[in-house]
Amino acid sequence: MNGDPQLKARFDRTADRMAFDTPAALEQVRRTAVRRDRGRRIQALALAAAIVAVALVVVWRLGPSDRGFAPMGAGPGGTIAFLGEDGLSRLDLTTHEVSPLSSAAGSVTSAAWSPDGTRLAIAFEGPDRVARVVVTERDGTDPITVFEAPDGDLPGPDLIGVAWSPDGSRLALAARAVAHGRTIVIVDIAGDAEPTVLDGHWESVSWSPDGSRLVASGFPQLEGGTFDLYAMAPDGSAVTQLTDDDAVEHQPSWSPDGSAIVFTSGEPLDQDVVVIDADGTDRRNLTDRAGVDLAPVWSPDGRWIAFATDRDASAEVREANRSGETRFRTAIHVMRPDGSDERRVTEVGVMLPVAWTAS
Amino acid sequence: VELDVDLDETRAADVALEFDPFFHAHFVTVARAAAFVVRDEGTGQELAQEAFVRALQRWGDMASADHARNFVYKVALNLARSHLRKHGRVNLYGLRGPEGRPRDPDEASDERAELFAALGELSARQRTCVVLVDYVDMTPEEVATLSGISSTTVRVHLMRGRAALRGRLGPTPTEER
Repeated sequence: MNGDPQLKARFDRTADRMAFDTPAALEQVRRTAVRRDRGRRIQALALAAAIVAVALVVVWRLGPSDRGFAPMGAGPGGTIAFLGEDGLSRLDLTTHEVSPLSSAAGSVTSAAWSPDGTRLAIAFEGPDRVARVVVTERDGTDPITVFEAPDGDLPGPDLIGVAWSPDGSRLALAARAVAHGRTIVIVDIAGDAEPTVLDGHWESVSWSPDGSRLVASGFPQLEGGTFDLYAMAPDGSAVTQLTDDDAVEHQPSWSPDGSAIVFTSGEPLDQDVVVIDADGTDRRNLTDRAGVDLAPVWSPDGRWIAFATDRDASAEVREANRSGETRFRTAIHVMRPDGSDERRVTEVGVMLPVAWTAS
Repeated sequence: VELDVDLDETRAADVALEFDPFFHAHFVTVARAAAFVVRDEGTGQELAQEAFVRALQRWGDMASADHARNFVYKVALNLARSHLRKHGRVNLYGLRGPEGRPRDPDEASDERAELFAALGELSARQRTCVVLVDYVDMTPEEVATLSGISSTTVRVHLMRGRAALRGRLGPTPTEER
């Protein structure tokens, strides 16, 4: 024995009174491991989708005569933030200029501009492997840390989604919390209130334009479930289920006018873009093909939806995507919110849009 | 973009054959050790479960049972340290304060409450060293490897932690006998 016998005896007596349901714990461990594998795959797909959106913009810049894509006509303007080969960057849709957009040291996992376009929230995992959120000026300068998430040794990013409240005062973070899977943390940017945590297992989040509701993908019970969409008040109350099926539903995004929610649905490697009314009714598949369609993003004026798809990729690229051995490659398509007028706007490549602002 | 390979059914079945005995052999002790460090058995169980989830996800990389055992202790104790470090600043879990779940009405008189209170007098590092050596029965060298500090430093933490515990707890019922 290495320990002090008397202390050992004292520890043992107390330990004997700690009762754990070991079979239940084992079952929970198994379910969590499998679910996490699935979640990380979806997360990677979403990242790939954002990267594809960047490619979309690049192709717009080059023009249809250079690439042979269908002309966009008066396409959406503004700026897209994207995660690409070189980290967080931005694409000006008017000038078609691409420039770096990251003051964060480490691996950026998500970003979002404030509703007024003056600030940028960046989620990243620093060199110390601690996930943080900083709020910067619009161009990524002058970062102020507004949140740190546990913990340093988790595989993959701890913060996988950032959404601003419409008034710009709070952030909803889709975060992995130690021992509780992923959840949503509401952060007061000014620091006037403690962060609040919403119960449940949530992996992506979007804020309604009127600020009264959140929509999240996941499930409200920590012990497990399927990935459906739920709406809730920003304090986590009044949870209502918007979708209910066996498919994995992810990446909800509330339309700028608040009337609809676009998201992806299907198996991890066979996702389609789907839209529902904000109350969960009138479900419509905007895409319905074999392959991966993911990360739908509304244009700021609500007239377009951009999404990533691997349908244009070669068989070799699609196979590589599915193997998980290479960076995921897709092209960006755009379509009207009713699924019409779809066109490819980028070549196949590695790029992932994470935010779109009008200014 | 790195995609993690899913656990397909075949692999999951293979893993279960090896993982289950390992889990049953170590889970309770890891959970109790974590509970002593964070002074809350509910949190201890959650941290242990998280450690075993990560072990299962990397099960194919485990070279031996000792490797796996060291892995789960290391992860659980890292999580416990992180929990203690961050709990006061950001109550991310939103479930309980630093003192853990509401205690049973009669717990104040319980030996457990006394032990938890005494452990609270120790630094996190001292607590970890004492728990691993005096409860888990690791050697100071094993603790040093897990903690990333020297065995000499472990012994110092151990000596001071034990002294503080004895001073707070007084003679144990065993000693009284």
